[in-house]
Amino acid sequence: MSLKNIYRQKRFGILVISIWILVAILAPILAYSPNESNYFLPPLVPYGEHTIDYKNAQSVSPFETQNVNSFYSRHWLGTDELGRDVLAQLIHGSNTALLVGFCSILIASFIGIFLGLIAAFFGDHQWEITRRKMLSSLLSVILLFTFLLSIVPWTIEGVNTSEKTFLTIVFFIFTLLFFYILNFLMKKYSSRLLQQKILIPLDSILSRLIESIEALPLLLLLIAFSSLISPSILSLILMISLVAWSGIAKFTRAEVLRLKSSNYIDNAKSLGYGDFRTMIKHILPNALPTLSVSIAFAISSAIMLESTLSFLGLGLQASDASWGALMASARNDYSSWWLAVFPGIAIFLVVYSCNSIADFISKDDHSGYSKRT
Amino acid sequence: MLLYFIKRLFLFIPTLFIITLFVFALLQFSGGDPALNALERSYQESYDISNDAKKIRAYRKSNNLDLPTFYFSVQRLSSCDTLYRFPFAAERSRAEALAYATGDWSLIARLDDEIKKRLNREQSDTKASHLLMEILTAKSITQIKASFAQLSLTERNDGLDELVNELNCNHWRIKNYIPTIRFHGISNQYHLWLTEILNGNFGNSYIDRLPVSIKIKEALPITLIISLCALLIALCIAIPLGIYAAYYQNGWLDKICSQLFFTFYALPTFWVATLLVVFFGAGDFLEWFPVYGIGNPPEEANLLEKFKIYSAHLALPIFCYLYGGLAYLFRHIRRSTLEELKQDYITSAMAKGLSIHAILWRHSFKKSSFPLITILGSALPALISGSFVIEYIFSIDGMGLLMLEAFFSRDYPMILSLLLLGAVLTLFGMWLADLLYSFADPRVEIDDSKKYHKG
Repeated sequence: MSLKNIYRQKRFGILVISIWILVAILAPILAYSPNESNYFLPPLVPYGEHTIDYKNAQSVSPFETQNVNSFYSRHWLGTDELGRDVLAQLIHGSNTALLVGFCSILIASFIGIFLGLIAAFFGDHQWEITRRKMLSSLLSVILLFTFLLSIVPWTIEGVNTSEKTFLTIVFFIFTLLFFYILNFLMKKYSSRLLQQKILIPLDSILSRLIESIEALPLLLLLIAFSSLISPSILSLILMISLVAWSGIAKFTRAEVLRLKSSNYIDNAKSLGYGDFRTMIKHILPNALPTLSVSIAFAISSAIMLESTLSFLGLGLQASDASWGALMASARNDYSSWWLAVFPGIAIFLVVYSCNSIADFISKDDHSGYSKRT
Repeated sequence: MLLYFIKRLFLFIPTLFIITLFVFALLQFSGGDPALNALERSYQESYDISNDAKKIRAYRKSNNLDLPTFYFSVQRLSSCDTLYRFPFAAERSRAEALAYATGDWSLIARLDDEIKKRLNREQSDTKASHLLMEILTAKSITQIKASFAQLSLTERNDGLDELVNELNCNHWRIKNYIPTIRFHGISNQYHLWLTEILNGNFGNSYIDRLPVSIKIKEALPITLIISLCALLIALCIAIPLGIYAAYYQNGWLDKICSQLFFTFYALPTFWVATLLVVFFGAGDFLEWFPVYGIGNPPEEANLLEKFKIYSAHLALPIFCYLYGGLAYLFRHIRRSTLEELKQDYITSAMAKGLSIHAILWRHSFKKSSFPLITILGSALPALISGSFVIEYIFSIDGMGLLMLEAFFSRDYPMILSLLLLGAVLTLFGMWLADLLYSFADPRVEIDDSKKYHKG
């Protein structure tokens, strides 16, 4: 199964996604008001996301006669209540969707793949560390959290960001130093008890963690987060990645458990390869095709979540164009159907394409990839 | 094996304990002021600004908000140790900012005491009292100094000037970077809340002072009706279609259903719901269905009329509810039926000459329906929590809308109870599913490492 194969079978999905990515990247050039900014090319849509066309306020339908000068400056998909062009908002909203969908899942898959990999690979009976290291790392983590949560002045008014950043970095370095010094001192002076090795049931711990995150309803968790934290794209990305990693980790764990019992891993072990080399070079590349399924599904669900949150008014600030927020404006005025229809089509197409590609890979997986191993 | 399930039931306790801690911490870091929210809400009834402070104090006292949050707290050495006693958010942020700026809260406390003493001596509405008030509300050292400079132009300030001069002495502010643990004993918000919960009292909602349990009791049946109807209909559609699609694999039924349900899966619920409202409800197109609430039939209406009214109101929400799940159920049943059909016992049943419907339903479905138990178990919390979006769009006063309202207005007792309820239901659903599964399919063995082995 190669990219070429996917392209042949799922031409529509690939086409939609590449158009979406292209539009999202080129959004500032595609839709801007010539009065506000100027690029070397005339825009496709002569309205920005915030440009208010006073002559066409109060939700003008795309089929109505519009109060515009020329064919070029017509509102092809209508306007919203304030007179903002729907198409321009759609174009800029694709930017938000791309950013949230890809960045959050990028972070989530880093966390998820890493944790799933080590949980499955080391299992419950392989990870041994000395009591001394355990103790010093626990103390350092506690120290770091104490510093980050209660010493760094996050909530205090009138403290500038550079001071907060500086303090955070200083505390990180300080904790690292603390860890090494503590470890060193214990190594030199401590009793036998601390030098003993103990088993860490890594798999059990991580599985419990994954289970407990899966246990809480996702949307409930996100709504709880977003009603508590001031909304911005960054916080939205962090929130979604914090809840989305568990699914990817679960998937990774199952896949790595399956691969771990194959012959070539045994061979790698008997050749004396290190754990991390085996994990990164031998297991991960073979697990990736299957993982890409869960990642693609995760991207589509992240986009869905972002638009749902924005629809409920919890996602982003009003200044960020978003497909969900655009649809929320249809709720104020049910007769302007174009506000509901077009953003929905955009969301549907993107989500459908991601899903269909993921579905295709998952079906193809058994024929294509198991042969290579 | 029963012992295993009982053991797992006891494992709920630490998990729930951790969840309460987590939720409580989340609320603490969230900011926002429930007392102020409640006050703003009461303004809509009667506008009376004169006893704001009194009201807020009383409110905080009655809701235990004037107590420390937890058994202990980790703070900067410089910070104010009784921050929770300040009734106003502005006072709290001022205390924090000044303590951080000077590196010593006691200095600010002494200054404030001195100024309050002076204020009592001054007549009100003089320029001096005005400046003193300015110092009491100033949020930075420079502001304090500016007000003080003006004050010292007019009169002598015996104790004050030393204190104000001291403000800038501490350039290193080392106390800001030293953490301390402060213990508050059992008279704290978390402890009181937990004991109340253990006594079965979930507290009163901040919004309308009604007990949380009553509000949940009112909302629960509505959500349950909708979600159970949706679930039943989805099962009735998905099971036969899934089974026959698997039997006629790659036939027209299979292709159409797979494609259709796959498309459904990608449709955002809120979009479908909005479109339904726009095109079949309140828009300019077809006004077939009412789109607000669940209907309110008159008392004397007979059963048929009541049913008519309710079903007209609930048709659209139920449709929105079920279409997304259809794809999931359909795929699951189709896949497991496909697997079953490859088994030997199906071949032997066919060889025996049983009709294909009998084989599909009596033999294959019986086995392939076991995984459905797990799905239904994990759907339990979703059944009860409802869907925020659907209830929001159709204005149904169910659990979803209750949660949204609680989150929007920082109704702490409500949020805590609902999150706790969600967690309990999720854990219980998983537990119940495992239990039922092991009864339904005795081949499943659960060994010590808590993993299933089918054998």
